[in-house]
Amino acid sequence: MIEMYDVSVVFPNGARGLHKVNLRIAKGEFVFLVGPSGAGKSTFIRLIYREILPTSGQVYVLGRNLARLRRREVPYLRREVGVVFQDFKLLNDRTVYDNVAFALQVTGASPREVRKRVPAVLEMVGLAHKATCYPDELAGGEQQRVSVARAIANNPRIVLADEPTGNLDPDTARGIVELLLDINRLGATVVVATHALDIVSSHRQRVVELRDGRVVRDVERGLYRRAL
Amino acid sequence: MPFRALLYHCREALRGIARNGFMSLASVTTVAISLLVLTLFLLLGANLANVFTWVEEQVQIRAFLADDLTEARRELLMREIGRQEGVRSVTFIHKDQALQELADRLGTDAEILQGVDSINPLPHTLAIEVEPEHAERVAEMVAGMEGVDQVSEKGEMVRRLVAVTRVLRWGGVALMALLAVATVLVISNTIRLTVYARRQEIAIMKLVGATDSFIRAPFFIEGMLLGLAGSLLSVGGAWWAYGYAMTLAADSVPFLPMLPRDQLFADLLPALVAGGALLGVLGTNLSIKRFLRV
Repeated sequence: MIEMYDVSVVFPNGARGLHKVNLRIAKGEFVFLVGPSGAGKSTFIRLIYREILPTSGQVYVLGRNLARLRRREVPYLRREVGVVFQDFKLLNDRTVYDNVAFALQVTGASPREVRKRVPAVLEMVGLAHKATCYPDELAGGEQQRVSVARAIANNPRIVLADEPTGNLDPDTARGIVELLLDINRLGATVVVATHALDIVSSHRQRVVELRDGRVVRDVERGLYRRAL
Repeated sequence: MPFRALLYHCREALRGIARNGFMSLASVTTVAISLLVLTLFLLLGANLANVFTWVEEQVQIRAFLADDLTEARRELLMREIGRQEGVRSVTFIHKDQALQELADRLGTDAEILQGVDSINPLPHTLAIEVEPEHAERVAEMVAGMEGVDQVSEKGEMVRRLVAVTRVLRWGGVALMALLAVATVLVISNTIRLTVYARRQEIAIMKLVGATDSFIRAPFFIEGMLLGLAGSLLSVGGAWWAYGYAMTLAADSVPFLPMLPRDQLFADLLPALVAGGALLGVLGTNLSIKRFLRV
């Protein structure tokens, strides 16, 4: 589903994002990507939805070599990859419903599909009753749920979350991670970058730890930190 | 493009125009002024061409004959001139007829001719209709003929008109090019503001997999609408200005033929409207290339 071979990323300013990363994430997996700030978690996520390209090495997503992907093919890749951010990235001049519908409309979905799909995903994230609210009328956790709903609106095969709980209190954060686990159970491959150690440790999923751009640990059913 | 996508793009375009109300107004005004100047030049050009044709038809060489020329010699002269290349016709005008024509032309001022009747000072005249490009040569030839006292030729005026028209045409083209560039830049700036206002939406659109053309479409429609609105305003302004010019001309230079307004505008309208839209699209293209990077 996601494969990286000797992937290095060096930014134009000389900063190193990733260094010789080799990793495979299979269909249906749930992966916590952990490590301190600046370890390369965001770079890893951004590679997968082809926001950036590797400086060297190969990235394959859904069987496609991203370096060879033509510009006009990128949008179609992204329809298969939903992304959730720490800062939600919602449009504040639109209702919850319209924020989710937006993702469908701009990819050419018919009004019928939109009417069917939006309530369904809002139901799934538990916000059906807030459909007509505006984002700034919602609590942080609710806003993040809207953002998750938008990410899964197109029914993507991969869902990426970059510090989705960074702005949330621990209980709310737990709820968001539960939601991402639900999405994983429904069949999507999910990668969550986080440094919420208690959440990672309590769920015992695959954990990939990055440090200075290198994979320093990759364990099934792991804890946030190596057991001492 | 499916209809609902078009609808979506149009709605977004109108939203963009409303959001940058003042800049949109500035763009429309700039387009309108640029196209107005352009239109006025076109109108002037069309009328000059028309006058030019009209004057061309008026090219006539007048040969004033010596008083003592016999009728037989005159016939010979006329036949000789008639054989020249470019000569359409040669007509004899008797001195009495010339006087009458002069009196007619003077109208109410004809009284100054009173008393001249008995001793008509005008010569017998040959009116030679000639194609303009041959006018000069024929005039020279006729002037050298025996029995011809003097030759008056109006070809010079035509040649000057042609020169003036050429200067006007190139000046107009240069001015139009400058104005077109200015228009494109102003529209491009307006679109840039919309792009800036919508940067968040655009980022999300890219993220969820909207195609580049889908992201660009509303901006092109917005630019096109600005151009269209400007061109319609300019056509309105030119319509009014042309009407005014026609009234003025009817008073001061009634003999000059002006092209009828309805016909002229019916011919120009499609080109102007298309021109406005094109400027809008060019402006959008410029700003999308520089600021949208999709």
